Amino acid sequence: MVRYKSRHFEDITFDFLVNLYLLVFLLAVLIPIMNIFASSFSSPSDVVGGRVTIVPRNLFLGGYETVLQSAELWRGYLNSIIYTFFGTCFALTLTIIAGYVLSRMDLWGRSFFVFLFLLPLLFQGGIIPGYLLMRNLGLLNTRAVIILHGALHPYYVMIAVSYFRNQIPGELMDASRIDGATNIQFLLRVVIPISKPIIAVITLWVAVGHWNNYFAPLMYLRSTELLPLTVVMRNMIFNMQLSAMDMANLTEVDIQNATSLIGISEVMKYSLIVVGSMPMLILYPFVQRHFVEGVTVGSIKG
Amino acid sequence: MKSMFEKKIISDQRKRFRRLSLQRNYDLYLLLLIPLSYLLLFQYVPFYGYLLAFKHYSPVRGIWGSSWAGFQYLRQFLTSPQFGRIMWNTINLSLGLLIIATPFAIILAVSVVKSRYWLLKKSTQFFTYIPYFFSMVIVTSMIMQLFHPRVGLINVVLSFLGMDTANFLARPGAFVPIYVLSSIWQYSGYGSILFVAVLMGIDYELYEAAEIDGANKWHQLFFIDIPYLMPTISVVFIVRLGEVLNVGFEKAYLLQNSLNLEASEILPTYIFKLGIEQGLFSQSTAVNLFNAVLNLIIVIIANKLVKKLRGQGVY
Repeated sequence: MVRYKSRHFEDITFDFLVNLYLLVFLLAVLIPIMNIFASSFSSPSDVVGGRVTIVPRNLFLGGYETVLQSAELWRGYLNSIIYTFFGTCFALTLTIIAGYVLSRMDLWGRSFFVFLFLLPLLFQGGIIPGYLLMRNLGLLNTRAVIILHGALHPYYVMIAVSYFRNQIPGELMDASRIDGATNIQFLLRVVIPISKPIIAVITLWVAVGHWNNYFAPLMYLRSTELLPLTVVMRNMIFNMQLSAMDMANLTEVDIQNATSLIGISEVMKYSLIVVGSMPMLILYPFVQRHFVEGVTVGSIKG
Repeated sequence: MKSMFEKKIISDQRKRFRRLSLQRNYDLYLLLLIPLSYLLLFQYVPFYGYLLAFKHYSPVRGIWGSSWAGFQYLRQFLTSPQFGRIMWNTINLSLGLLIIATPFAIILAVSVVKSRYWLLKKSTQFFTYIPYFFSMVIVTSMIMQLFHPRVGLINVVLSFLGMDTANFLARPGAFVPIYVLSSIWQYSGYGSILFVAVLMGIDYELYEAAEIDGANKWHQLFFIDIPYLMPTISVVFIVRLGEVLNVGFEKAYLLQNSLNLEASEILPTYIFKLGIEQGLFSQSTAVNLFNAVLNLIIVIIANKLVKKLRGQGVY
C-alpha cells in the first residue's frame, strides 16, 4: 500500500482493468433496470417513439393508475403473501426437524436416512407422476398444494445438518441430558435458539423461492382467484400484448390513435414490472447481508 | 464421565448402540416421522409414477391398472424427428451457460477483491446481487421489453447507431445468446459471492512474500489467486455439469414463442407441454424418465471427476 511510487506498469494496467470491469458490470446491471423505471414514468408517445433511455421523458402516471386499479393484481399480491407465509412456515418446520434428527450421530440408521433425504437431489420424480399424485390426493386447484409443494429441499436439509453438527457443542447435549431433558425439549430450548443465523438464512431462501415460484401454480392451479402474483403478472402482460396486437391491425383507421394505444399498453407493461418487483427491491437492502452469509455457510461441506 | 463411558460402549458394541439408540432416542424417530412421511409421499411416490412410461395410461384404471406398453413410448421419443433437435437445444443452452456465464462471475469476484475503490466495489456488490432476487416472470418480462422490436432499449440504441433493428425474440438464432446474456446479468453478482469468500480467505503474507520476490499483480493473480480458486471452480463447474439436462424450465418456457420454438424447445419444456398441455401422460413420462436417468448418469460421472480432482466427492 505504501509503495505507490514503485508500482510497475503491469500493476497499473491490472488495477485499471479491474476497476473498469467493475464499472462496466455495474452499469450493465443498472441500465436495464433504470430503463424499465424510466419507461414506466414516461409518456406513451415517447415510449413508442423510442426516446426513453434511463431518465423519464414527459412524466406520465397513467400506466400506474391503470395497473394499480386492477383487482386481479391485488388478489395476486394477497395470494403470494399467503403462499409465502404458510409455505415458508411449513418448509422451515420440516427442514429443521429433519436437519436436527439427521445431525445426531447417536441415531441408529442415520446414514440410511441421510441417503433417503439426499437421493431426490440426484434423481427427481416425474412431472406427470407428481401431478397425478396431487390429483389423487384431491389437492389440485387448492391453496394447500402450493403451500405443500417442494417443502423439503435436500440442499437446505444438508446445510441444517452440517450447521447443527458443527456448531452445537456435545457438552450441551450431555448437560441437558443430565438435567433430564428429552430430545424434543433439547431441540426447542437449545438447538433452535443457538441456530438463529442458519434458520434466518434458510427462511430467506425458502421465502424468496415461494414468492418467485411460477412452476407450481402454473401446474396445479386453474381458478383465477387462487393465482399468485407471478402468474397474474404474466397473464396481464400477455393480455396487454394481445390487445396491442389487435390495435396494430387497426392502423388503416387511425394510425396516430393506434400508436398511442400501443404506447399506453407498453407503458402499462413497464409499470406492471416495476409494481411486481417492488416488494423485493424494498426488502433487499435489509436481507442482503444474510444472503451473503448464507452462501458462505452453505459452502461448508456437511 | 457418564458421556465418556457411553461412548466407549457405543464404539465397542454395535448391538448395544442400536438398543440404546432405539431406547433413548425413540422420540427422535417419532420426530423424524414428520419430515419422513412428507418425503415418502411427495418425493418417493412420484418415483413409482415413472411406471407410466411403460403403460398405456388410462385415467379410469390408474397407473397400476393400465395395460403395459413396454418400451413403445421411449422408442417413439428416441426415433421421433424432434429428438435430435430437443437434445441439441438442451445441451447447447446448458453448456453455453456453463462455459460462457461462469467466467464472468469469477472475474467479477477477482475484481471486487482487488479493487481499491471502496465505493465502486461496494456499490457493484450491492447492485449486482439484485437481479438474482427477481422472479423469472419479472426477468423475462424485462427481457421482452428491452428486446421489444419497437420500444425496447436495445433497438433504440441500435437505431441511434444507425444499425438495423430487429425482433430478436422471434429469431431462433438469437435465443441462446439472449438466454445466456440475461443469465450473466441475473446470476453473476450472486455467483461471485462464493469466489469472493475464497479469495478473502487467502493469507495476506502470501502476497507480501510474492511482492518481495518481485511478482507484479498479474503474477499474483496467476500464481496465487487462480490456484487457490481452482478447487472451488472445479466443484462449481461439475455441480453445474450435473444440472446440464435440468436447465431452467421457467426461463425457457417464458421466453418461448411460436417463432423461436425451433431453438427454444428443451427437454423440460417439451415434457411439460406433452403432459400438461396435450394430456399425453405416458409419452411425457417416458421423456421425463429418459431425462432423469441420463441426468443421474451425468451426475455420477461428474462426481467421479470431482473425486479424482480433489479426493472427495460432492455427494
